[in-house]
Amino acid sequence: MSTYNEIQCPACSGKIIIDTKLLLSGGNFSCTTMSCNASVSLSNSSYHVANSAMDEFDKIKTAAQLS
Amino acid sequence: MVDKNNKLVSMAHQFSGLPIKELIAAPLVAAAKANNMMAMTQTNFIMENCFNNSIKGDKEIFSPIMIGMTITRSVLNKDGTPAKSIETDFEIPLLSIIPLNSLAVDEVNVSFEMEVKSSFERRSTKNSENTIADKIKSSTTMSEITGSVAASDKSNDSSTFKKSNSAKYEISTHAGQIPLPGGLLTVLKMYDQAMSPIQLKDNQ
Repeated sequence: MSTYNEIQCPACSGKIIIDTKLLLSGGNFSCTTMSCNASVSLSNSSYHVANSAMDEFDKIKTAAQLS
Repeated sequence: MVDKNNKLVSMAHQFSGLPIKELIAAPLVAAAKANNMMAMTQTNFIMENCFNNSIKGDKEIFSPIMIGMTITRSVLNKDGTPAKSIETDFEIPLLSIIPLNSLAVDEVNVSFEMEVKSSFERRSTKNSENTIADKIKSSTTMSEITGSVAASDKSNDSSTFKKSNSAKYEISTHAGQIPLPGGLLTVLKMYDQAMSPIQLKDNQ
């Protein structure tokens, strides 16, 4: 199952493909627009909020697959 | 079932007692219920984990939980040499980074096979054996009579009945990802667009 998400680049309005698991482990994701060169990462202050939401999401996903 | 006259079974009669409606409807209803449960679970997750709930007057307002992100942009000096990158903080809704997908039962196959075989065979052969043999011999000086009598009778009676039934009921379901609902996509797109900064003009 895909863990990829797409957000809009704040710099050029292009696409930034984000793997949430990698984002939570400190990964950077670059804009897909060649000339943009922007990359995004998660702020340390938001790690806890994002991580606990992903944990909850993983739980319901696992429960759905088991049922 | 073979009737009294030993005729073959009526196929229509064999299928008349089958709960065809239940056999077909039950798996479909189960799949629909499973889909409903999964959709409700995902909706509850979104509302509980990705939104803050507040009440203003008589209205319940859900505002998205925002997370901080940092965007890093490379900068080049006038002479083309790399300068120090610029980092800018911005916020996006938590909902934007959760890999939501609508997991649902997207295919249900119900196949039902029933086979009723019936054959009736009656073999009737009489085979009774009865043998009579006798010999006569009579002779005088003038004549001689010789005779023999024999009779044979065989009979054999046998009947054979064959019957077989078989039934096979197979349900296969497949759960896969279906596209996100249009409403949720619209909300995500709206948040995406709100991410871009607004350039203030002189009179603003």
